[in-house]
Amino acid sequence: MSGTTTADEDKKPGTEGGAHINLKVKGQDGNEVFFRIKRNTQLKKLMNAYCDRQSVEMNSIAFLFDGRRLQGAQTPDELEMEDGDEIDAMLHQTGGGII
Amino acid sequence: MAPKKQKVKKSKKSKPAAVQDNADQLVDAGQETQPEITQSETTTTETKKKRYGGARGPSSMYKVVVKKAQGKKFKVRCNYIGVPVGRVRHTLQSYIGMLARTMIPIDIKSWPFVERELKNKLWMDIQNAFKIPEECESLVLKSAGTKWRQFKSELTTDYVIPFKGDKKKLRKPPKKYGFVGKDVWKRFVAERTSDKWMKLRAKQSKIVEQRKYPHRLSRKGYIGLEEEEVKAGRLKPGEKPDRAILWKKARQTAEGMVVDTGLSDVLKKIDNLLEMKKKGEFQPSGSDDVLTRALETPEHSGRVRGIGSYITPKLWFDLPKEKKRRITKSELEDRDRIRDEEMERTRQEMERTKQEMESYKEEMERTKQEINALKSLLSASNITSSPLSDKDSCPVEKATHNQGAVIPAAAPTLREELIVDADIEYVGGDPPPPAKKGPRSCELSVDNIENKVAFGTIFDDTELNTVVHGVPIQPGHVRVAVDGAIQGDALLPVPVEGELETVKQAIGSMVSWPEDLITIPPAVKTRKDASKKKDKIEMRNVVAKFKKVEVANSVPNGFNSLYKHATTIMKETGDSIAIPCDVEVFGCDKVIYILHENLIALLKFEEIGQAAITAHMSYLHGMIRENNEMDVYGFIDPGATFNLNKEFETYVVKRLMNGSYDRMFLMPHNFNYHWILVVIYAGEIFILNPLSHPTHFPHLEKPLLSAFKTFKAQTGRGNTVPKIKNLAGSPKQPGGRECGYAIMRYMKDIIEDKEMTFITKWANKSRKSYKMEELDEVRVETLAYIQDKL
Repeated sequence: MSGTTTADEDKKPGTEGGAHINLKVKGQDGNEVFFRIKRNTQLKKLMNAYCDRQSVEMNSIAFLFDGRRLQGAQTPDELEMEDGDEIDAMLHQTGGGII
Repeated sequence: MAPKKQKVKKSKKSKPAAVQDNADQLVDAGQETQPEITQSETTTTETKKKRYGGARGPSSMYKVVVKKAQGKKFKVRCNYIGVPVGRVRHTLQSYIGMLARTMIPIDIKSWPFVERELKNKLWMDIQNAFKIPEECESLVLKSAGTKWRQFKSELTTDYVIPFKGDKKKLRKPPKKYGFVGKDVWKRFVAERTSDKWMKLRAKQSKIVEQRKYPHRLSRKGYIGLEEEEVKAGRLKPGEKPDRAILWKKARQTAEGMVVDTGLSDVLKKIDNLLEMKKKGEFQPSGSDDVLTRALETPEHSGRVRGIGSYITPKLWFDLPKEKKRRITKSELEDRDRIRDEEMERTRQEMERTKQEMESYKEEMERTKQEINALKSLLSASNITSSPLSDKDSCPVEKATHNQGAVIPAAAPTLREELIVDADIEYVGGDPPPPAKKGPRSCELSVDNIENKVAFGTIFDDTELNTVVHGVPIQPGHVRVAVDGAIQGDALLPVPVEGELETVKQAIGSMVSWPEDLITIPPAVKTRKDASKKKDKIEMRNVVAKFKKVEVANSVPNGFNSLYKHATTIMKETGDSIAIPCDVEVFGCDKVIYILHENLIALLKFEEIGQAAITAHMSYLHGMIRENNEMDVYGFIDPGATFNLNKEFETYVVKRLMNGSYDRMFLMPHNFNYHWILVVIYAGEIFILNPLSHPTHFPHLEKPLLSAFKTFKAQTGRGNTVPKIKNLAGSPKQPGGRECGYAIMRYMKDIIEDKEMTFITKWANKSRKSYKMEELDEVRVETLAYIQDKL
């Protein structure tokens, strides 16, 4: 899955006009990762790709856009995202003390 | 002694079989008739046997490794007592063995000395390769320990003792086990050739020689034996067998013969005792059962004879019948599945009842017309005789019945009846709304509302609620149809004598049930609505839910509405509470987002994540700023430091450079689902751990020290690195999941402690722990802070 997304990402921008947008995923450590994604692709793909990259599990990260939790089934179109918009990635990192 | 001899014979028999040599098979066949000759022949084939290709190396468990790499897992099934069963258990055990051999350095003295972290890593690896319940951790590690010890012992007997004194041969580990490593091997050999070890070895060998009755199960083990018994129908699944029977079976040869005389005595004794037990003459109690009596030796601690590994005496002997049994994950999943199926069925049933309603409506329409015709006929002929009324009341009654109207008790005149009917015609112009009254799916509980035992359909039209199974319904009770059980064995609140007493028996029939023990899940309806008319109704539902939310007990006073907000609005919309932090707090612009689950965890006093902790840090920062102590305390963002990579170092150095050398930095760190606090102060690093173990965090210490070194070098303070100090006296967390709160409390205590006494106060080991109230204090503070930001 990550393969396809990274391929998308590598494609030169501007070939398909408005069909794609660039999104920035910002981690808590300030790291930024850019993704190029079709407007009608489910964001699940992007999340998966990001988690793969950071080698963390999908369910341990929350993705937020404008302070709102993103659902995997949503698309940039639905959320009216624009080119260059920023998504925050938040690691849950819960801890209780079972060690 | 006899058993030893048999063992030799067996090994010879099994080896050729593995090679699949034809000659050996022939020999095997002839063995029964001429045992004497066979033995000699087997030995000759053994010597003649030639190997093609290299010898088999140690198992690498390729099939598991491959499956793991594909992201798939083997599923492990556990039996009633929580021990893995089925075919996968062998794969699991082999894989554990492989991991234990390769992961754990053999120069460690014994298993308890192996670091906890290493064991965790092993367990994590197992979890990646197998779908295995969490409860199995101790079992897996126990097995790993055994396998690791066996490996070391094998190395000792096969590769160390035979070459004792031969330095050249002992220089390197055997080729087969090259992964052991040269240095580790050297230390291992030194240990195993020492006099101390040889003494110990001699002592232990003597003990082993005393073993009288070895079992003959080999890899099958008692677990496999039990499985076989179940398969053969001699044992019910989930039934706890008498271990004496298993013990007996484990010592029989394939033909069911017992050779050794000493053993046959014990077996006879077992048979006698079993007979006595059956008659009730012998009452086993605890570990004093048939087997203990027969063997005439007491049970050893830590294990149970005749039942296999991993079962502790406590688990075996203190297990009264079925009640205390462990629920395995698969069982839970099964239960969930059944529940879902039941829900689906109820939903379909509801659909059906709806359709039935429709058909009733049509029927009513027809009856209405009939009545109208009758009415006109009546008014025309003016008949008021009663016999006709009897006849005609039938369809009328049907109509009233359907509409839920009162059936007239005494038979009035036909005219009156018709007038009554006319009234209903008006009301019943549209049939009674099926949603409000009539069958709805519900959950049924016993004793208290939380204790749900069954799913069902509720029929609460009071007019129909008169009789169930010939017994009038008590006031406060309603009629329900039981569709499925959650706890099949639970007793019905209103049983039908001799027929329906437990929930299981009542499935598919009507019973009466106390009204206050019925919950009607709203989920089905709201979901339907949501799909139809999206947002508006959704919002309305959320608001309705908001009002209905039952606030959990653990939520502190004054935060009920916050809890409701979190569980409804925030959850439905995915919204979060944003807490912007300026550069001063963490050294960079940051917005803390509190998600609904973070908030709920905090409200319910459950395990908290970095969101809650950073929120508390932001709160403390406000306090520091008010007190003008900005140059005394600083924070390091746990969100930015969870990843111990290069950025960690740059970020930490950047933070340390900010402010004077004496500025104290607080850095909560999450290590393997556990929070600890790192304090950097005046050139020293302290670790505060709310658990008494472990005391070392090598993965963290290394990058931390390296960051510190860089910092010192950059500020021109030389490159000596301090030792990381563990403040063992820091108060511990009272339970198993409050470490996050304990960390918040540490920070608060440190900041409020003007004299910086914590370094000396908490230096020495103590068992002191935080009280729940103390932790609650920081929790409420954080909550108030978050609520403020909302």
